[in-house]
Amino acid sequence: MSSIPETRRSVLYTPRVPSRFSRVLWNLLGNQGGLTGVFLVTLVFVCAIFAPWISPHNPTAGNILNRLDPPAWMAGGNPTFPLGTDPVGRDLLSRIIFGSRISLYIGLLSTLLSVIIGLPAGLLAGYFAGWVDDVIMRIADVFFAFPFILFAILVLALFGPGVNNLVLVLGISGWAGLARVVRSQVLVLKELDYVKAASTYGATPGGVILRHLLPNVWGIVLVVSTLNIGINILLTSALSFLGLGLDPIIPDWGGMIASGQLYMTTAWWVDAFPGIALMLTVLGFNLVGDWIRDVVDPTMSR
Amino acid sequence: MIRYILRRLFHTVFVLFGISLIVFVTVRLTGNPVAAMLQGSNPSVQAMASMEKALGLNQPYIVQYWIFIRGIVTLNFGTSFVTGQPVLPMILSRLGATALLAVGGIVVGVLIAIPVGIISAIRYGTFLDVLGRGISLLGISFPNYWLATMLILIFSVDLHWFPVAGSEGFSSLVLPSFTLGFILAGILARLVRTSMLETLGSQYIVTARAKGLTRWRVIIVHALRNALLPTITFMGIQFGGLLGGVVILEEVFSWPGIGRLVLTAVNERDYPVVQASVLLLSFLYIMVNLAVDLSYAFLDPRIRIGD
Repeated sequence: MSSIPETRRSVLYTPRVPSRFSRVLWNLLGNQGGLTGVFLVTLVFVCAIFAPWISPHNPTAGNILNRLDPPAWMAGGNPTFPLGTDPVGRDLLSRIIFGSRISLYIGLLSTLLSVIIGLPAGLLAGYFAGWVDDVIMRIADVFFAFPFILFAILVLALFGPGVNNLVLVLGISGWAGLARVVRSQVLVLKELDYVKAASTYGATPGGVILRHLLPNVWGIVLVVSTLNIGINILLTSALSFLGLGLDPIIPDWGGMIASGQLYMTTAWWVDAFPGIALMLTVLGFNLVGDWIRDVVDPTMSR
Repeated sequence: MIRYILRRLFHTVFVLFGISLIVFVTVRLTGNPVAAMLQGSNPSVQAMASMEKALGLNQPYIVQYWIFIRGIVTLNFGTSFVTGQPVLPMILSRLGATALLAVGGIVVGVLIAIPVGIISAIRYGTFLDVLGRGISLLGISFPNYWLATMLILIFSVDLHWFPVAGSEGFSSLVLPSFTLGFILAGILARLVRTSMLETLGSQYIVTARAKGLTRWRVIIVHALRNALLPTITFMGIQFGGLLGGVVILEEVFSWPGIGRLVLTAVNERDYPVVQASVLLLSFLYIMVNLAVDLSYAFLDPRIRIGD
């Protein structure tokens, strides 16, 4: 607007352009799904960060005398264990709160790893096309076609269970999907006039990718990654449920559900509550992902 | 068209080559099958060596890989280290059980997703839409093995309607199919809704209504048919995820499918079984996606497949 001469400015109606931040905030306030999602994700983060202070009990120490206590409101429930206890007498609520740590840690780091591999791969494949594209996308195809769960079983059998091995498996399997999305976005972007103009004016390929393509793919990367975090949290718990992936001492939701299987008929709470925690977490990330997509790409908002 | 198919098949060969290499290397890195089999019996060095020789493990890796590749071409994947049975019939019989489960899941998924998606779209923005979107969001947020556990708890343990586990008869198929179907419906219903909304806004729908066709005839015959196209593509992409879900549910329901076969085979270091099943499943995935891409040309004659 500054290019308009002062004299003409008073004539033109110039609405105040809200800042990007306040626009995003307004959008969130009008979006119930987005609000719910942000609330759920924040809750999980608060649990993970403040776990030692908000947990009523030590998540790894239990008293066998209190084993399989029902939730506090049921007959025989003990008010010191609001959600009851597990087969070794540990407080379920404390274990669920601590379980958020491992879920978030693996979900976030594995997604970061996927972005670190997938984003450059997609940018290069889309921009250079030709044999670069062919090589990158065929490798991506291999990762796509390899059944994930079998890949995970093999790699975890090879490296042994462990948090970092899980991050590795999930991160390596997730990059291909991201690369495909980024590549297709780049294919559209590079046909745009201003990108073509930049090349004509002598911008180097590196310059075009960093200054013109990268800033325009961040949105879609953010959407895909947020949804990916939820998916990876689900997969982590599934692998842990199968007995692959995590040390049984570490409180994690999938492992807790697995440990409750034997007591399903007598102590439903051991299975039910960790599952609800897991579901709400994944739901939170899905809602936030949907909301970010609405902000980034309003045409998709339906 | 022919050229396109040939190019895709050429890609397939490349991808399968990559997968064969990865599975060959990783399965050998997981450990020695002879040591796993003779575990606890404290075998002599000679006994182990003779067993390795019998299984062909004393040969150089390049020879072992060559035998594997040759097996792919001649469809002879060797015999299982553990049971001694030929691998291919073993896998195919298990694949049948897995396919049954997958089909059950797809049927349930489609039966839920299409009505939910349609209603969400035609009642856009109303309470029914919010409800429909809520159901589909829950579907994609549920851990499938947990949902399975809860369903077993309610319908098998409490109500005794269906068996807890196993694969005998139709009733044992109900709970696993429903679990799988509900998760799948979550993804599909969103897709049906979005594409229905797009088609319902187009000119030919307005025309069809204007020429006096009933509301439901337009929705089902005109709109749904076109809205199904993106849905089918997505089903193809989801095939891999569906497979992963099946593997986990097989474990929960003790269903004798290919997922449990591979899980045991990895633990027993049964190289031939692991190699062949991974390769076969990947091949299946690639073929399903090729079929999906080709079906485009038939479903929508405007689309010309080619370079």
